[in-house]
Amino acid sequence: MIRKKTLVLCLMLTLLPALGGCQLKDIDKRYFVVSTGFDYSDNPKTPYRVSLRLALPSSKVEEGGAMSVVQTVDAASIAEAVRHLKSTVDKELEFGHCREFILGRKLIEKDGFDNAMQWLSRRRDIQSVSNVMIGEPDAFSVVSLQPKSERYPGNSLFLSFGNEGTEAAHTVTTYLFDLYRRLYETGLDPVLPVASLFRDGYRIDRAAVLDKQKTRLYLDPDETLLLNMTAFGVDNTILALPDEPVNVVLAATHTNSKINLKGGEDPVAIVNVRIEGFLEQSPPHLLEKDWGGLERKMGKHFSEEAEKLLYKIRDAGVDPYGFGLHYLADHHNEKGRWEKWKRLYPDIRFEVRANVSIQGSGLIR
Amino acid sequence: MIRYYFYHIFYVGMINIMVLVPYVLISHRFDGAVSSFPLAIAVGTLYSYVTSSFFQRFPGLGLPEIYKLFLPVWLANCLNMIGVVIWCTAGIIVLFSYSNTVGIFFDPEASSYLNLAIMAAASMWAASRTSRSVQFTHEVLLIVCTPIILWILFKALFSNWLDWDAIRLIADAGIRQPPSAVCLFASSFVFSGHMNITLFNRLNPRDLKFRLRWTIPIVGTFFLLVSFFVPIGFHGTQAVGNYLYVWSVTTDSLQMKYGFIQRVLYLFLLLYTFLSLVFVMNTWHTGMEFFKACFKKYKPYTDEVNVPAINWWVCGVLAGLTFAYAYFTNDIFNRIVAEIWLVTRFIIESILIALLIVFIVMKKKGYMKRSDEPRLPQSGGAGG
Repeated sequence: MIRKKTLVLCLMLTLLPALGGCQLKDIDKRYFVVSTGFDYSDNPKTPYRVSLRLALPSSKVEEGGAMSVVQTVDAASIAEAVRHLKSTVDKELEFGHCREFILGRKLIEKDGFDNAMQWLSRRRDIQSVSNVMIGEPDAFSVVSLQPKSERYPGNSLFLSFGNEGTEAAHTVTTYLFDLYRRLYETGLDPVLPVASLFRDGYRIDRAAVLDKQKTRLYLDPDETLLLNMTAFGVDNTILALPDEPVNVVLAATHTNSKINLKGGEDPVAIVNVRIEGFLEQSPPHLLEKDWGGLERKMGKHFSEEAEKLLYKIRDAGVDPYGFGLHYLADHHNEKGRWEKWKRLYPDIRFEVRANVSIQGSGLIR
Repeated sequence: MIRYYFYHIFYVGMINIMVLVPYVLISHRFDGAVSSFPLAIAVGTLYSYVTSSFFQRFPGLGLPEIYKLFLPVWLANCLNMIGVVIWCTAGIIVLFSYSNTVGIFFDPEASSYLNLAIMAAASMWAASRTSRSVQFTHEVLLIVCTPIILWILFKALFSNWLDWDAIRLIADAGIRQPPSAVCLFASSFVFSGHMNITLFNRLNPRDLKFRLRWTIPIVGTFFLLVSFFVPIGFHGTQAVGNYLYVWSVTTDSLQMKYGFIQRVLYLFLLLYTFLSLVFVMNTWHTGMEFFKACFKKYKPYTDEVNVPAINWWVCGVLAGLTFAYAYFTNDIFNRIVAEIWLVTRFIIESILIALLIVFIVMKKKGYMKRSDEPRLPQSGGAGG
């Protein structure tokens, strides 16, 4: 009796999983979006141009085998554009695997990135660890490039960021949640990488520093490298010391950076950077002649360059390092401290304390 | 055997995310959340000490039996019913918030009632078992999820993206504000694992000593600080207030680059499926036993072989109530209800603590209505 009852109960329970099938769309009825671009169209009625790169699933995985299509639509808002775009494709759009969001340069200049952020952060299926970047000249051209080296559609672009694929010293990585935090935080401003096309690939070696709405400053590749080392402590970077006939170059394997503020009324912002690495390019016997001296020389050169960058960023009126937040955290609950900081920041002095430690000269002396 | 007591302390520390404690605290992050933490730690520790030393004096007795020792039947039944309401609503709120969160992140196309149905069926079945089974289920599920949850928490804690300046700013700004009552009530929930002893003391042997009680404030403080400060570190002082599902988004900000799935969110929600099940099972089971204790014929059995039909009925009604609640409520309203529940829970817990102290005094003076002679092992039922 009991066994029969249990059997019936078990049978009924097995029916439960089948319920899930009723409302779930199969994988072959979905289009996987692999990168999304937002542009500004010049039509004021439908200002947002959304471009989606949709992956075409294929059974073989090989270089150059990745196939995808690009769809574009203009609408009054991003959400409307995406809904409208659905009527141009035959399968349901799935954003769960999309980790690249490209904001057109013109969009940021004309409209800012706030509206795009609202849509991105509101969607439940968009990953907080998506990479956000600025597309140059526009997002569409970055989205529609199909590099030959891709194994899966879209993986070329996301391997460019972070340290999953290439560990590029000039690539700033900004995740969606980090951008959203910087959009609202007092005393911490957003940084976005700038992606453009270069032959059959992406070139992501510059960064843009933004205030809460628009771009204030575009950094060139050398400055981006310095920003990466001083603000984000990115590993596997490079440090060059100008020299005749050829520069002395240190391949930095580890970089650490820490900011600090000293002084009350006339504060000095101190950036402590610790760089470790090997010489990759140097005249023979240079290191053994004066090990400590070379370390100091490289450190001094780095400090000078980094200070130049910091003054440039300060004069643009932005704060991607979070000095302001650090100041607020240091001055507990003082009234009017934010106003005071805003007064102090334009005249603040910077000091970069670089501690370069050379581990060796490579395989030869 | 003392480990069963600490399982409760641990899991209540972790489940606070589903009872929306971080949400309440973060919405008050600039006014008095942080300053209420020391109070909550003190109050939570004190309450844990009182309940554990009280129940140590009444081994093998649950709260309903202790009521019967000291109080007239009608008053005992009233108190039991208050317990039923407060325990069962906790389960209903958690079940709804869980199915809501899962509906948003796992399977938005499916009907939200589907998640609720599966989860309610599992909870109903789990809660209607005997106390002993519930305790063992609790142990198994907790051993499965605790290491991985702790791993996620530590991964977040040591992440490079955690902004310590934001955490310092909030800690500094908050500690100077006068403590807020709602935050005290909400944060003391993290310490309230000791309340489960009110029922599960029935399973404790006579010679049980509550050792290692000094770990309670440490465990509670750890979970309290982590569940409040880690989201702030990840989303900054301002943006963190914009998120509704703050912990889901925080775990989504982590990634397992070389894991099977790179989104930590799914692992996290899966673990919280287990934890929610444990929570609903415990609360409904406790509520059910308290309800049954109101009847005259009731014997506090803990190891029946066949569970009585009334268990199914009570848990079935609770599952039905959850559906009714889900039908009439929405996510925002649920947040308000959860806040009200947190406040009520604290007040009732405080009243109970006062009552327990009164009972101790009454026992010393010998004002007992009935004697608390040790009873036989409580198996009962068919085949006992």
